[in-house]
Amino acid sequence: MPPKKKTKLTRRPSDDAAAEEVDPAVVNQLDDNVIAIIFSCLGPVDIMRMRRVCKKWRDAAKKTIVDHFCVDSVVNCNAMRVMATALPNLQQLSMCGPGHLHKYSDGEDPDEEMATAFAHFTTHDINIISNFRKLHRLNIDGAFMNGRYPTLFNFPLLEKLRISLCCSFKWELEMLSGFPSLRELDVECNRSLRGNIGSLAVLKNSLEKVKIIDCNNVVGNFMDLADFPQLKLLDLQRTAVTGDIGEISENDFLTWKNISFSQRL
Amino acid sequence: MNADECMETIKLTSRGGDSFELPYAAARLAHVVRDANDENDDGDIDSPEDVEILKVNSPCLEKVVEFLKHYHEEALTEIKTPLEDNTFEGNVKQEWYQNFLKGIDQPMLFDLVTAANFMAIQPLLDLTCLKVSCQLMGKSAEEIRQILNIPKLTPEEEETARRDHRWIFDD
Repeated sequence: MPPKKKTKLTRRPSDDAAAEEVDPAVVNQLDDNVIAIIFSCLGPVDIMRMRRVCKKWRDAAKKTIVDHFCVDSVVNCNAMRVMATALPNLQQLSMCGPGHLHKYSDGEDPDEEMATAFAHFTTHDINIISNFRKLHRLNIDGAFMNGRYPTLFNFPLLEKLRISLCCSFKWELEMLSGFPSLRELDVECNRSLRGNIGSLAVLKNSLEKVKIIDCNNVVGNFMDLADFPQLKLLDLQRTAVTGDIGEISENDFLTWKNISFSQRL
Repeated sequence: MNADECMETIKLTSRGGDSFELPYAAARLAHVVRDANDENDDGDIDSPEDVEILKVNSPCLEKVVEFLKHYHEEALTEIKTPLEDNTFEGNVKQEWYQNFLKGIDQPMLFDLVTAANFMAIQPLLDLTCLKVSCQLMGKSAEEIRQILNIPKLTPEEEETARRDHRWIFDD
């Protein structure tokens, strides 16, 4: 007779049904698509923990549709490096850098560590974001963006793009052609953004909302957008875009609900 | 005849040969039942027929039929993601559905997940997957391996995991 195996499990007392001893075959019957559904109810950090359980769960994590991840701390900066290969089906990514936070007056900057991490991230690792092929929404808020990052401008499924408070992030409106599904463009305070508003014509059939505010190097004539069939909102405050409102005919801007122009008109 | 208004009942038969009777209008939530009855996209059928569900055992099929019957009377409201709460009860407010999974053991829960997947019953799949998700939430890989009796990683695998996930251990 084989010796009786004694298993002593350390668990929290709050564990309910899950705490019973389970036949391994029971877990193995779940296929990875089902495990991926189970994972999709969890946040990315939990899923990352789950994928350490075994190989099958690691494969399931790869298939999981992950809703949202926010890179706003040193830990998350590091996590994203692994996520880019471990959880490639991310839907929404936000990068909230310390750029938009005010400096502390007593000389101590609690964000210093994070600023360093972000600087390191943007110089060395930012290209890994392009692994998230299914990205639908990308937010870059005051992140430590300094320079050009052309690899960020290629997501076939991206629907919403927001870039705000990135004064040293150099990019051009032409680069948006890498987002053929783009519906909403929300750009605020990007002093290093250049381009002619007319270059949005490549996105003519998908764009519903265009908001470009406080970007003084964006030029062009807003009438170039007059025949965009889906466009409902256009906001070009404090840009160098011009145009004559008198030119608007009754066939233009048929779908528009809200328009704000720059003061230069 | 429109399947949704169909008053006839059918029998679902389990692997063990037990049959469970229910209205066709309730059973058709399972796409496997629709397919077996050649229901087209317009939801038209002739005369509904019994279906053998050979991949599902009797106790589990009994539970599935209980779900289908109730769902027909009171549909499960959609579960919102990201989850509002980290408990099952916090996300599923309907009492009947809370009680439906209360006190069932782990093998039965996994059987239900598998049955819901095989029979293509989306609301049952959502509900049971949510239950499992809530059990896993916030637990470490080691705790989960103990709970679900999954073999430990080899030392090499553990080393890789630690390298990949240093950020978790640092935290």
